Amino acid sequence: MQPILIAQIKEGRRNNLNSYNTEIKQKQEKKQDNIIEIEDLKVTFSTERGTVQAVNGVSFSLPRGEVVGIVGESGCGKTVTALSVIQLVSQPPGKIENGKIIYYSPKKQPINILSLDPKEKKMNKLRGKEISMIFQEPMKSLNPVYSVGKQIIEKILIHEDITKSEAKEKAITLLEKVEIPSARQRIDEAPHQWSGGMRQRVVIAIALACNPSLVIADEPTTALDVTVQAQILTLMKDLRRDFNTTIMLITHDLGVIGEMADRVVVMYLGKVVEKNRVEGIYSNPAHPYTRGLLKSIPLIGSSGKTGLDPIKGSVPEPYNLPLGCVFAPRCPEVMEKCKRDKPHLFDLGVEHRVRCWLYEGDKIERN
Amino acid sequence: MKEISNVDIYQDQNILLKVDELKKYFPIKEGILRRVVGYIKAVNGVNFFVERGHTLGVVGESGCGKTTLGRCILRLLDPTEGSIKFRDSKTDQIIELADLTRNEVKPYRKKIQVIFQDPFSSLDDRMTIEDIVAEPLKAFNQGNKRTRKKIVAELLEKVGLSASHLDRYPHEFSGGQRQRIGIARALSLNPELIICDEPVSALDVSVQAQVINMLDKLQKEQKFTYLFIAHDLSVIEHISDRVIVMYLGKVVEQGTTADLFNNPQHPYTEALLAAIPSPDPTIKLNRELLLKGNVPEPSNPPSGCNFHPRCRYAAEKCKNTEPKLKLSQDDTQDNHYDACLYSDELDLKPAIKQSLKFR
Repeated sequence: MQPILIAQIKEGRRNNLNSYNTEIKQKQEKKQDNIIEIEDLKVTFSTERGTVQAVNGVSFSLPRGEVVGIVGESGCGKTVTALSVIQLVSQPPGKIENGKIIYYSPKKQPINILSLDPKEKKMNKLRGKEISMIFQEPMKSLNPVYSVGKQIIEKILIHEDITKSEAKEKAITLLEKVEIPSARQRIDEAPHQWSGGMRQRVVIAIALACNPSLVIADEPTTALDVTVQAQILTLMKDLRRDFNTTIMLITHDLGVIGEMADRVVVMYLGKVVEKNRVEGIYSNPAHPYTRGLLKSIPLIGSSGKTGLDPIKGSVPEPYNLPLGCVFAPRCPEVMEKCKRDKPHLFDLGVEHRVRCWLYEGDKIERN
Repeated sequence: MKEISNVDIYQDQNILLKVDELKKYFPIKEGILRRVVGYIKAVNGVNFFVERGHTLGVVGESGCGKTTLGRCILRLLDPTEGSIKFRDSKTDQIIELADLTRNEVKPYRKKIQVIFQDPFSSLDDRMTIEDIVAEPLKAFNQGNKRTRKKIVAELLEKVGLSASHLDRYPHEFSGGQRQRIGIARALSLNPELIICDEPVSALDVSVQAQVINMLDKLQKEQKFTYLFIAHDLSVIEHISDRVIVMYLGKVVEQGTTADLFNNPQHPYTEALLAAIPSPDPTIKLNRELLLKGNVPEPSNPPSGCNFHPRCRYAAEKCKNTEPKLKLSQDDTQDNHYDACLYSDELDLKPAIKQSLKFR
């Protein structure tokens, strides 16, 4: 990276300092309204070839009512982080080694989700009702032998104390809300009679069935066509506006992030390498990995025939991670120190954090 | 009015492939007698041409027939009707691929190769990398075992792998590396036309960019011609010289990449372009332009213009008049065609330009 760029970033940091101080004051006065705080989460998987550190000390929080995008390539631990939040990491082979996931329920006392037994009643009540999930493959996440309606009603009956016919009415309203035409007539049809986009709408309807306060969407549009993707994204935005739902959006698509997210967490090999508000990630990316990702995507009208500038190499095998910074072997700005020491998370202004030695000398937040 | 059929492969030496009125219908069978009750019109009258050394992008939603089109050209499927003319550069003869029998088509398989979408299912797990890449050479009896090994080693170097990988098995490689192996196999017979069927959609962004750059480089070095099928419009925009847009088995628009993205002539193209999400958070999707509903059943396409039930500009005439692919109004000599009855009157929005401030 050119020194000028670092200077620019530092300049931006200084400009932010004033607002930063006021932010701290505000924070002290009124604690930031987070719905989830993940602290130092570590998840390992034991495989035949050794232990894999899938998530290696991840901390971030989800402010209530916002969309937080988690980006990274396959194997960066974004899905495992999400599954940990609803205790769906299969144990074994997975193991949650360390960390806290504090859930601030709108009504009840805050609880550490990880302290609950995944099979416990209390967890089952939370999962699906207050925190629900939208999975990637609409073809696989619906049961092919039950009607669409039955799968929505099933969930409503588990979590709410109402009769079957009331649940059916509710299911129809939900299907209408996700813009399924003639929902009343079609509710008894089987999933295979519906297109991919419609099935994903059903999955969203199921996720929203009990007015959850947090929805985790794991690559919700990856398997869909661009046109359908655009429909689903606008639908999710409307639903979020109407229900004030917090969304944790996991994706590798930077276009989807730009469209949806308020904040972004960039992950690489089980670590958070950068987090910031979405505008900052796009206009002022600090970590070489974030910059590399942005330079890898073809942009309409500007990449032209100049060629893309991809990150060299590929994500290393997770069994034998580099000693220092995990990104060092692929980093275009690698220094001696990077190969030796694990970088701290540096503070670059209001909400901007980056895990890279290039910013040494700035305030250290935590390890 | 100039029709696309006037582009003449016999006259124009640069044209490598010319497809006319290509149709592929799949029968729908029902009952114990497996009686044919209807047809899925996967490809329903497609016309286009590809110039040598250029890349033709093919876009459209799933079910629009883009993969079937690729497989018809490869003759993995037998077309129902129409013509596929291919120029054999060695003899400079024009060959009608659609009329050849399975045996007659064999020598031309060498010249048209394919790169598949899924790098995990397109390589045989029980074969070594050497066997996989050498298989086409073996099938055409080229060289002996020793020379083949040398060729394979060179090919692997060319796609960014090394000769030390020869004895390894596919499971030892990542998705991006497997795709490189698939590309090496496609290159082994030194083809003229390579059908790339969604070659990068299963890959991570950074690896996707590496593979795109490699395909670019190979094309510059060896003058390959690509038919590049993809649903990701930004990839298409980056790699293609010309683009065809398909809807329900038909071409609705084709032109140079710049014309198509900056000056779309068909409402479907406009809707596709409007659906591209931008990484720039200040640019949001224009909801007005987004398509509603689903692609209709290809076994029972709507009357008139296939797109009319979803078109925001549809008029009465669109319901009963079938539009033909015609030269667009703005066309000068770049062969911009569209199949919209009202394209001359409509003022359609181009794709929004994206840029990175820090680049």
